[in-house]
Amino acid sequence: MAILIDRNTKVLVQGITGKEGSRAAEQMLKYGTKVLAGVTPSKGGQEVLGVPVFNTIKEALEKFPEINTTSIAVPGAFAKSAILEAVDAKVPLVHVLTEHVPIYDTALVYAKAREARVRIVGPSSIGIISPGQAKLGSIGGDNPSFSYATGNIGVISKSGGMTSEISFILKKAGLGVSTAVGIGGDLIIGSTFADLLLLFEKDPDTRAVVLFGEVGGTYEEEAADFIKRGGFTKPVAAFISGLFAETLPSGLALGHAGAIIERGKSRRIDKVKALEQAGVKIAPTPDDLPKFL
Amino acid sequence: MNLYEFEGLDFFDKAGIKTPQRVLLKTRVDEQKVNFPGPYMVKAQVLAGKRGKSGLVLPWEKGQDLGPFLETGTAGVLIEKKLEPQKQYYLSITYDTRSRSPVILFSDEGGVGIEEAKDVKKFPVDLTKEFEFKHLGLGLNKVVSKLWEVFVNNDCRLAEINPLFETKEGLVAVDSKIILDEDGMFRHEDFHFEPRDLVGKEPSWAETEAKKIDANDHRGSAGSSYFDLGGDIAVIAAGGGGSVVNMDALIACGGKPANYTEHSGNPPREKVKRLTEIVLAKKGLNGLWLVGATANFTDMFETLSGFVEGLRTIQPKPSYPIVLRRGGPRWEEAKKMLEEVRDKEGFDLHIYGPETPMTSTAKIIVELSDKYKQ
Repeated sequence: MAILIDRNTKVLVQGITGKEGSRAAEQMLKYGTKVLAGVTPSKGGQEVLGVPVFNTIKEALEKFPEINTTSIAVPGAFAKSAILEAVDAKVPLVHVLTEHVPIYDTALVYAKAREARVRIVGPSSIGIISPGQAKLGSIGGDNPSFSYATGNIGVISKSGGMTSEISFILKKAGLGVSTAVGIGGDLIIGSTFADLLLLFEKDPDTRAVVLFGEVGGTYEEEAADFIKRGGFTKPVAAFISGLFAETLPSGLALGHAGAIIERGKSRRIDKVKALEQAGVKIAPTPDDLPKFL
Repeated sequence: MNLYEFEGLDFFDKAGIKTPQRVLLKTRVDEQKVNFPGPYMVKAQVLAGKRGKSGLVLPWEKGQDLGPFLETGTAGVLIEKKLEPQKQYYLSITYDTRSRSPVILFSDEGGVGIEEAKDVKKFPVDLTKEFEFKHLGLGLNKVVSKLWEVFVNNDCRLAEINPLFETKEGLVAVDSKIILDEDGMFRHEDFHFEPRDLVGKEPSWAETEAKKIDANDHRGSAGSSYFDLGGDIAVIAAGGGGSVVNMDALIACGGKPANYTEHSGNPPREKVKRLTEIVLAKKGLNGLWLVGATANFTDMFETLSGFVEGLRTIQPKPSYPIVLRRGGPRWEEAKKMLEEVRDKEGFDLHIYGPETPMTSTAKIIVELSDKYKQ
């Protein structure tokens, strides 16, 4: 087992005719992921890498009703309509690789997805991988096996590059990954640390989880609360970056709303404290993570 | 992008939120533009907060020297009609990561002490429903609805009025703080705000040059997030998340970065060459740290060849230590090439691969740089 994706995942790629979309689709196919169809408005009837392209999700689902996942790699300006189309079609898992999605659009699609009980991962998610089974997006690049060994550690990371680096560090220490998820570093995201810890708790093949967090927002604190309340009972190790980010003057200019909303939260020290109080081990560098598992 | 007060007040005007009479002055001599009766306030147009406490908002009379203000106010000064409030409110709209939605914040303790205010009401906005706001008094509800228009129609990350004055003539927005969402700016080609950094200073030569690298070439990225820092160790980092992890490590062991920058997504060698030239153009460097995680698909031979090409153009030839830690596709070839360059061209180059934890090389560059300085 794993979370979110496995051998039975049947994927649709939205934006498959674009540069990012076709690159991701090629990598997914190469890794053995079942990519059944692609969607690009007005490019229906074409084929990309042997995968049939449709104008709409509805048409793709008529031909391939077994599709249960979509991976979206359209430009930021079109992400809202692409995600809403997937939500309306009730595709249960919507992975959004697209970066630079306007924050209003993300908030809107998240609200609609929650109402429709559709799960979004991303935006700005490098991908999801369940090693040896399937991958979504461009996680692990052309050769995911280089960084990702099969195993029983779950990885959740705000940074795409660090998802692979952490998994590579685990691999060097003789550990492997059940599922690794790049959740993206945007202010609003479809799946948070806590959302995924809930899934890892239920996954018998995950025995511990690694988190990679960054300053800003409150998702690390939310994870700490979730663990404290007993929502996640397995070992957790985390690395939180931000020593450098906090030396920058950016906070000066962000108005009062940030200070009110994030009072006592969002700084690195707040996150570290909250997680430590929840029993999470904080690694001083990413290379120390395996020691704590 | 952060807007100046006067730019935000213009947004409010357009949405029908009342603002004070005012005029923006750029130079001392155009005081005659103040064509409305006093009393007046003068407000320096800077992006930093806490202007009141820093003495950048003061009463003013015609004829009074504006010099000190014009020197501080990076975008000029605002001369504004002074109003007498009966009450001061705080009102803003931003995004809250707890509800993962927009949130309206309101307090009747508006003004300078808002950050310490105990009673700030929060109203999350449900985007699945038509916007409607009825939680406050009639007049305030109307201002909230207009501020919501400002927030949504301009793709704001923050739209803040502090203070919102209650006067005999109604509610007046006396200050504005607007932060625009860069990612939504494709919807606003009509916006023409001058480029600025977070604190409103003009970008440096290196910052401007580094931004140009990605502007004309979309293959990978290099330099778009470059900014100058005060230190003496030049940094060429790789990967958004990884670069920040490494900067943390550098600071933790006492290193002083001369800059921040990163490259990622397999940029072509020309981009890395140019970035290297820009980063190393700085005077007074005592070390260079090129560092990144083990790449998934960035071609090490190509990017590091670009680095070497850039390094060769630097005059005088760098004698300071260079610590390089990378790994990924074609790393072995790249390593061999770098070793040759080190041996034949006489650079003090220290090469590390995936077997060495990337953050551990922070200590190495700091120690070598300290030794070099002595």
